[in-house]
Amino acid sequence: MSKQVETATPAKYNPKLEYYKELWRQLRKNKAAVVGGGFIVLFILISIIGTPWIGPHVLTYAPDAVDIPNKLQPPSADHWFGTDNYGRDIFTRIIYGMKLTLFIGFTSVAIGGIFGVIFGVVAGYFGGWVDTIIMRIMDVLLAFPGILLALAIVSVLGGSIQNMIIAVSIYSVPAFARIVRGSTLSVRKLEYIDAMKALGASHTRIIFKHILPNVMSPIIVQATMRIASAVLTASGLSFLGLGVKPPTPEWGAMMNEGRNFMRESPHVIMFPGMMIVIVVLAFNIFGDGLRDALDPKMKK
Amino acid sequence: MAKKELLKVENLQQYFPIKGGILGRTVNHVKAVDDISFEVFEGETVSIVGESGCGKSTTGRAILRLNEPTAGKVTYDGVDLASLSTKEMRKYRKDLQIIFQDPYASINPRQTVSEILIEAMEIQNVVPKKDRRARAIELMKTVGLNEHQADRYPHEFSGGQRQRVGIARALSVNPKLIIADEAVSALDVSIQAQVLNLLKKLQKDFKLTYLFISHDLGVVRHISDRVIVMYLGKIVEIGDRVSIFDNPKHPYTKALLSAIPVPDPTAEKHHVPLQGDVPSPINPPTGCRFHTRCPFAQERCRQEEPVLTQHDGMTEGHTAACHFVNDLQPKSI
Repeated sequence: MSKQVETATPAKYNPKLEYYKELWRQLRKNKAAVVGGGFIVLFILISIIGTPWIGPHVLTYAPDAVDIPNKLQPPSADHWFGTDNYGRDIFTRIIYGMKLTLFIGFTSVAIGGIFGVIFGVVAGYFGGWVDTIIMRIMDVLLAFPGILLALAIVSVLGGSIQNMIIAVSIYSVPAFARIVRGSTLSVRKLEYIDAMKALGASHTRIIFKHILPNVMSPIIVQATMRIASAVLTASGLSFLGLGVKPPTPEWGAMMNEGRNFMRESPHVIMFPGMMIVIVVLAFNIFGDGLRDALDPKMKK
Repeated sequence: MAKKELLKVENLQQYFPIKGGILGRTVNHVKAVDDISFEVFEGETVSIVGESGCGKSTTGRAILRLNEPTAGKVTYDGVDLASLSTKEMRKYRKDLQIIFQDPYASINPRQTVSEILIEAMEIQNVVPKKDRRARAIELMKTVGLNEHQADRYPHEFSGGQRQRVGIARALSVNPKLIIADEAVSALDVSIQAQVLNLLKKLQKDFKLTYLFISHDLGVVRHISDRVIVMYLGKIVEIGDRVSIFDNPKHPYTKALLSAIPVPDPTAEKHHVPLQGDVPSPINPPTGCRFHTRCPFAQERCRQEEPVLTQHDGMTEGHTAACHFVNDLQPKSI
């Protein structure tokens, strides 16, 4: 009989942990991605400050404290980002808005992602007419420009945070479905899927235990990038007055309110606008870096 | 000793539709396996050989219903597998296992070896839950892996070791018949020998029956009891190993055997060069499918399809599908 060659010391380390370590090593090489990731951590910390339990103890002003005499103040030591047309502190409102922005971004991508992944994996795994029906519906959704689709959904359902999340979720579904279907098609042809079939594994087991874990990388990357576009769409809707209604400190809604005073007091729309840009950019750059870091893993 | 027929394949057909046109209608079929019949007796190793694209892997997959066969009967231990529902088939799957060619694609990269083996036992519910890990380690030892490797991931193993994992997974459900689909083709020669010897040892220890699919005649000669030669979806010759290798009757078998390299530079060469390529299995040649490349083809071969027959000078159970078996002298090609 053959002799076994000792390949390494007996397993003491956790290979799953090793995987994340390797991912981190790859990610660390990309400076831009690290900066993007750092910003995302910062956003999360800020949104924790923006909760009603911590906010009032840390911040000088309340997000909806009206102070008419001090309206449209330019940035100063008292009001770091200035005040808006009701004298509310823009800095405080941006911090409170961060929580809302991230909440909308994460939940809508999570909901859209779950449905998209299920549709995609089912279409890719079963193929045939199931695939045709699901993917044609996805094509119809994709045919509309994202914001237009979200607009249509919100105008049917009515403007509220909840409906906006539904709208953004629906418009995230086809992107996930497509990517997951593609990856599923390549994974299901691999011999280990046949081996599971030969063992008599059920479709559910094959899909959840053997296909999904192996198509996770593109899903993670897509989710990160999608958060950026979800944030953009959500603020866009609010800016158009179809999403979150004032006086909620949503950035898009804040820009909408500040629109009329743009000439005299550009800071009213500049700061929320800047925040949207930073958030979108951070998620995009981080997603890019994540993709680069995950790709060589997938080729292995 | 009367041999028990474990697997009987009758008139198996596997056609893959070709969709075309704007309506996606089936315009034609790839006739990957066209009407083949053979049987496998308990405890023996039957090899299927042939060049790539001849339908040997498809046959294996059709037996396991990894692709639903187009027509034909596959009888395992008296039960027609093709007539079973998917659910009923699941019970039989523990008797019929498969080892794949590519050791890199045949195991899930996200599971450790013990997880792979435990899951296989879980699916077929063969071992009580608490004993599964112990059984997994026992299986690893059986195939020549070490206990401490149980929690390793596939990428930490070499190709040969991965193939052992694949073998252990197939063994984990106590199968009776194992289909080895090019099981050693992707391994280098020294590892091939190790894995082949392991398979032989397992066959003795667990009374396994093998259907061994390979294009490597050297390997086939080493492991088989009987050999099936396939060409373009048809069986051209069946016989025991000695008959096929020492007394091949079909011109295709002769050509195939003459292509085995002989490690002796002074040996006289009887190389039979085959002209051209394998014809398309979409529109296979009429009559004998080999006539387009056969150096002896005559008009009758173009018209009439030969059947597997036992001609004069052939041992019991040795059949060839050629009209002119007896006209071809052994040394004439």
